[in-house]
Amino acid sequence: MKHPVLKSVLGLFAVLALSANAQEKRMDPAAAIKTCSGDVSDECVVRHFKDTVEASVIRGRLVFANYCTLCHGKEGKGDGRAARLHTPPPFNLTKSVAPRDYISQVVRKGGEAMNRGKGMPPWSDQLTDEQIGDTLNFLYSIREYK
Amino acid sequence: MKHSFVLLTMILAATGASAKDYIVDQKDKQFSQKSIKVKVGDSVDFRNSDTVSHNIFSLSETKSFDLGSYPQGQSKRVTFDKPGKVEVECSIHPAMQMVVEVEK
Repeated sequence: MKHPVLKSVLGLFAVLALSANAQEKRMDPAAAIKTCSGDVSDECVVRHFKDTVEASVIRGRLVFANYCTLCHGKEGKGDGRAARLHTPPPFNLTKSVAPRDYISQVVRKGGEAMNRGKGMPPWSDQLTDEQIGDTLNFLYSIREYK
Repeated sequence: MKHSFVLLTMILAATGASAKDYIVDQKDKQFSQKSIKVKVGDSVDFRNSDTVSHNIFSLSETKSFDLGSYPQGQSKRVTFDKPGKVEVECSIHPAMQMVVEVEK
């Protein structure tokens, strides 16, 4: 193309067109939750949830699935496959009414340091601040009493 | 003297003095080996040489246990009293898995 100004203008139109297209494709979070696979690398999640609470909840669900379901169960009801090893049993997290900061400390320091069951290990070495924050958002999303 | 020796031999036999102790280390969020074969009565010390805590457990029918969370430098022992396959895991690091095969 010989004319540099025309080239720039066409380029700008192309960018605007792409941006508008992306905007159009953005789904309502409630609908997108059902559509996206939940994988944080999934383009669907990136497009619809990036930097939103919904994105955090999805990431938190993944952290929970990786590290917490063993004892707390898939739905957080305290019925994971390793629950039978623990007395007291793992907490049914759907019944929780505890403040966010308290739960954050239990997750970071473990149950024993917080005068709760010894079965809950400290997670501060394993999980990043972002992962813990995401997990807390996920836990809030599965509460019965909000 | 002879009687004492016989008595000592009997006590050692009765207390399972032939049982062996093995060490399985934990480092870089991995067990030092994927599997180990032991005999009934043998023990395994699960030593933590990692900079992070580990929580070793097993849900196997042959031997079910939970050693709780423990930091670097500590070791916890499990004695295997039944033959069979024992799948050992870490509740903090799901990728850490190994098998203890307990033979008669």
